[in-house]
Amino acid sequence: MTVPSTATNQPARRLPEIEQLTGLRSAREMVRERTETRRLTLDEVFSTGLPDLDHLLCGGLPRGHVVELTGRGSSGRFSCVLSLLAATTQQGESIALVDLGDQLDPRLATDCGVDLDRLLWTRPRRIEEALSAAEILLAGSFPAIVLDLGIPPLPGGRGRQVWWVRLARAVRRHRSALLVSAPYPVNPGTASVRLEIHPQRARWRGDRSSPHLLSGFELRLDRSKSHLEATPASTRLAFRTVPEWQLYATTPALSPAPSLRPAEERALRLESGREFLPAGDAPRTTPSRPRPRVGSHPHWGYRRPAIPPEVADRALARNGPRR
Amino acid sequence: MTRLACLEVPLFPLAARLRSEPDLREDPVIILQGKAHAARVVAASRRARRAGIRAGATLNQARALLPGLTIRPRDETSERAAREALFEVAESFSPRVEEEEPGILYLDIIGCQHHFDPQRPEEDLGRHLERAAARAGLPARVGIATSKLAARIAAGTPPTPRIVSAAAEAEFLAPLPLARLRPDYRLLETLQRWGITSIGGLARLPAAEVVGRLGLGGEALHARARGFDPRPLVARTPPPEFREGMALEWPLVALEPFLFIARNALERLSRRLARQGLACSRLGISLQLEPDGHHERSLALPAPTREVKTLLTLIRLELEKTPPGAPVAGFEISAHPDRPRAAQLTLFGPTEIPPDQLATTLARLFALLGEDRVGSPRPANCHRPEPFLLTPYTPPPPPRVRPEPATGRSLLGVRVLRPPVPIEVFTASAQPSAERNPTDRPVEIAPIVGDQKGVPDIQGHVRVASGPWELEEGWWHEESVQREYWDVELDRGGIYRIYREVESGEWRADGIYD
Repeated sequence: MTVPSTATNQPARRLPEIEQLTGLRSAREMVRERTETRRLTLDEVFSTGLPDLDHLLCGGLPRGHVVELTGRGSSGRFSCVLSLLAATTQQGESIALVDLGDQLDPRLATDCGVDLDRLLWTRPRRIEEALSAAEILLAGSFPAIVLDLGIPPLPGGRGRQVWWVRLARAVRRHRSALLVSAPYPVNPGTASVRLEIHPQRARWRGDRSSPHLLSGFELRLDRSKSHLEATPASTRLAFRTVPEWQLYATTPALSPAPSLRPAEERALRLESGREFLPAGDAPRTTPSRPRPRVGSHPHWGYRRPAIPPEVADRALARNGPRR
Repeated sequence: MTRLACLEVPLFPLAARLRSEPDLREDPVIILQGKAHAARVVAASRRARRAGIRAGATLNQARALLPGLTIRPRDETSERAAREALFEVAESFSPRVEEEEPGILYLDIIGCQHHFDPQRPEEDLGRHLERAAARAGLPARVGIATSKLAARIAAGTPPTPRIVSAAAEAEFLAPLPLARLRPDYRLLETLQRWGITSIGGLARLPAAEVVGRLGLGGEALHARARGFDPRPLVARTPPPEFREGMALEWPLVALEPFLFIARNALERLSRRLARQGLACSRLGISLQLEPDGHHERSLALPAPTREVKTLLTLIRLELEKTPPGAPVAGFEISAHPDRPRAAQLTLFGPTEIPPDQLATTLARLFALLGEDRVGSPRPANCHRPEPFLLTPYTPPPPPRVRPEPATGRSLLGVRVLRPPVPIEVFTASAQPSAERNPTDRPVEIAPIVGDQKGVPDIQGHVRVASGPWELEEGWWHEESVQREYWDVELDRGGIYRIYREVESGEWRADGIYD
């Protein structure tokens, strides 16, 4: 192919013309196209249910990319995972959780809004099994997969680099979304986005004269790497333990008591089956120390399991009325 | 008017064996029946027949004629699988199929001709039938006529497919030798003494004279010679499961060679299932052991599938988990058929994972992790956080329109430590556990000294403690659980959920807020 003689004199200036004439693309353009960030449409992302985190990820968890989320114990990493599971399943999508630490609490997941029918929970024993399971799920056309590696020590270490490369290729090929949640970076080089969580502070209610109660904590998310569009590189998130009205329902000693809607109050009575202090009647003075009843831990105890009637009858006949 | 097609596989024991061992197709092979000196050749391949080996020869005679002969015993398992495969071929053409003997089937083809070439429908049907049988690994011949007898004789007479019209049936049978009617040898001798050697010759004799001289047997033979076959076609009921297998030439003790052979059987099984539009919902393995005994296994699949790789992986893991304990001399794999589920496509909603693909994925995960480690989680009916239930993963159909992305409730998650991690806790008063005051707060957490490999490191000074929160369950039976829970934040980071067993006084951590 003949290149115009003028192009040889001033190659840099005449480069677009050369490209147009020859149909060739310069290395610069190919690199730019390769690395150029692009805006993702709604169909290409899965919302995490946390608007700030979505903003950090250019809309949500992207299809065809690996996102790595790292954070040490009590950093809020698992809360982000649960939020993603809830948001995805509520949209009617199937999602798989590869839970290396075997640490999912189905009851808490339900409280977080996860539709358990759409959640496939796999519980590998070692990291090799976890990566193999993730690869099988990718080959099975699962649209979104969460690979949660739990807390240290990880059984099997970080895994071989080649496994992570294979996994990243499978993600691109099947156009699935993969979130790797790990206590520390495990797959350098293959993740399109890497987010680091830094816990800020835990929120406790109460003081020396009243019981402490964990009500949530705050964290900061930093994006250390991204192949996606440039957006703010840091954000703050806050998680709370349970909705406020449930908190006061189980610990009436805390003040001030919030006002409950009648429907919520009735639902709570029906659900808990125990006495409840209505709004306005909560004591303003704090008693010495609350003694919650059976199963009344504020984070899960307001739900009472159903004792089969025949079991209850037999127990009553044998032991008499409960003390 | 009835039109029947006869589908015949010549030398069926040999064809069934070659279907199981396709590598032997070019070799001189004989199939033996009987033991030791009583063993006789029942079928021989073309190369063996060219060397002069015929049915009924002994093993020594056959070896004398062709020393490099491949010898196989008659294999009931292979033959049973081949019979079923032939049935399925026939049933893919007509719903009414009858088996006269292994390798010979009759099909009622009335109404089927409309699906084929309108110029020569029956010939076209016959060719398609032959090709379908060949795809199933069985070389077959086809004859089409009005009666079973004529159809069968037509199938045994070249060229194939042989079509005999109703009007030309007597004309077709007349020149053929009497032996085609398979008469009793005494009757045949008598007729040959009379000088009657062809079917037409017998048909021309007066019926009353034949009955008077040859009795009821002669009457039936005379009727057959005239093309009159009163036997109706009795359609069979399809079996509840598909089977494939074979007797092995020598016992196998290693897994890999067995899986190599089992893969072929599974591929045949998969093709048969695919032909019927079915998938396998349960897989049965029956191993015949050396010197005697059987090893039976049944594998339940999470959803119907017919992917060979998945089924083979499941068999491998099952046999690795529970080896048969003796050399394997034969095997049979049975597949319980089920309809594969179909996915509904959508334009605006989330895409559903195709059910067969989901079934394959679940089966591979089962094979990798075990059945108790894959499923849909459910809360257990108790207060403790560790127990849970797993149910089979059967997601409901996705909504027709994708809902708006919901924002989460931003609830704090708790990682459950299964099993709970034993820890040592120092409380504020430091009194003995038996006289412990419930108001004593944890102030320091230390790990239990001992084997702590793979256990999370939980230790440090307690910065904030919240509790105690009581948990009691199972009070109505002896194995009750009574715990005092505390939420503690350690100075070196980490918020843990720990508890004290009221009865034993032991401390454990069962959750980490994360």
